[in-house]
Amino acid sequence: MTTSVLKVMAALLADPAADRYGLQLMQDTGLPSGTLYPILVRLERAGWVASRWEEIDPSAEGRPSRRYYRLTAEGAAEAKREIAAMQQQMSRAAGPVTRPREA
Amino acid sequence: MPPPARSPRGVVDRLARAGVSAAARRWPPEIADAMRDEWLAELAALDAAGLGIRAYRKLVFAGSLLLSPAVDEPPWRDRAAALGRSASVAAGVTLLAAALVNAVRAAGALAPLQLAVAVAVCLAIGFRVRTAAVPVGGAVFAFLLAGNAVPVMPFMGFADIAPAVLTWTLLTAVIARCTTRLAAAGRRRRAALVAVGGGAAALDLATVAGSVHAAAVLGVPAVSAPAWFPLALVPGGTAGFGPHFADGTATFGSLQAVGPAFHASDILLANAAVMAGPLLLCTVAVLASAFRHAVAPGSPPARLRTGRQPERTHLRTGGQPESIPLRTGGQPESIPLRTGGQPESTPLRTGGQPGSVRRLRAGGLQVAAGIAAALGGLAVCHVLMRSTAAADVTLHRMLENSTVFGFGFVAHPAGRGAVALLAAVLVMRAVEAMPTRRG
Repeated sequence: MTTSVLKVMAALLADPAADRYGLQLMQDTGLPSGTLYPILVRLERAGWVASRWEEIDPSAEGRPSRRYYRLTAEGAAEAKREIAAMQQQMSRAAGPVTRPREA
Repeated sequence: MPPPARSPRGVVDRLARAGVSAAARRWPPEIADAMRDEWLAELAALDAAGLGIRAYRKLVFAGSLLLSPAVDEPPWRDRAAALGRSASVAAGVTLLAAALVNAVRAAGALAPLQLAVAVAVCLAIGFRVRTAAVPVGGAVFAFLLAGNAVPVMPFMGFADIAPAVLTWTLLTAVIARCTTRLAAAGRRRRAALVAVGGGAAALDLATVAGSVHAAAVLGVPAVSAPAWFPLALVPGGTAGFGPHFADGTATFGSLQAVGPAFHASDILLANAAVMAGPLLLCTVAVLASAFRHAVAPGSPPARLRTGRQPERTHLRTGGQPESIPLRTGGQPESIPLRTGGQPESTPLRTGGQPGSVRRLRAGGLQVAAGIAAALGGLAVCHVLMRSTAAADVTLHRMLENSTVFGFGFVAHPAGRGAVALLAAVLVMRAVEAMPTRRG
């Protein structure tokens, strides 16, 4: 799993019940649109993310409906596992944190 | 699908909207419209920001989508690598074709036999590697221009080379496509006939296009044009037409010489021959490649990545079952969800020490082969430099139609270095693509 995918999953996992739209996720992850949307499509294809269209009257609102994303139950479980695995890997790579001896 | 809504349109807004619409067209058809609507809605949402920030963020949003690969497209890095591979193969085919043609033209009585061998070599290369008309056309164009750095041929300038190579490239690309379609449809005999007949026609027309300027200067009648290509392949003096120069003096462009009496056609055909020869062998390679890879399309190119393939599963997206890679276990090494332009993906490891040793050995073999190829390339350059000097174009040589041409750039160290580097790259790639013995 790439760092970018992890960032997206972590952003969605921050509040699994919340709906997020693309610009929000771009802000949360720091990813550009050209990187974010392919990830969202792949995650949705994998069943880890679900999307829905905002239910508004576009002519009344003066803007088109937006698309919202949120983690599925499976996606949330996978996200937790992947992020935990990555944290474990990072802590192994960094080694044990030891306090320097005093002279 | 949500209906569109009104929004104020400025220049930046129009640009951004056009950008995301163009980007969406590159996405898979089943989701392209939805993605476009989603991005247009996001652009509309940006209207809430301040004017300057809004314009900047809209352009960045659209620009990123335009410049990034779509969901199922390979990353730009892979595309650039493929382009580099294609260009290096095209350059290699071109240099080999030109070197073989020079060898044929210096062979005297054995020229027909050597030409047959050269055609067989290019046929074998075309069957072995994938190459196409457009990159080869570009390489031939660069080669002919660079090869004439010191003008030794009277009609080998841009006005001669460009029409010839452009005509050849366009026609050969079309014929290659027809050949591929016919061969893929199982009509191999017809595909071969199209390749041979179409290839000959393309060469004839390219030779005409490249010799029109010379014919106009020399006063050679245009009615003889269809015969220029076949006559360019035979010894000089086989046929003579156009103005007759009885005193044997010639002043055409940079060529000023005195020799036996000759016809203007002798100059035109000798000039055409140095273009037609490499193009002939390149045609063989390109059309053989088109035929072969249509018949046996399953041979994948050598891949840089090793390791097990991720499992595939079928999930529904909008009613269409799609096959996507998914994680095979709890190991974080697998890359189920690659981002388009991100270089962060890492290959899976196939094993422990034996794999490392095997890779080390293969790498050593590649480097050794590359060094040997580079040295070989330098040696060939020195031979070509001598032959070019020996064949310092004289009127006699042109009248015999045995002029060797095209390697003027090897006189410079940078030219020799480029040839050596190209030889090393191509041989290293060939070694890499060789099937590795397991166990």
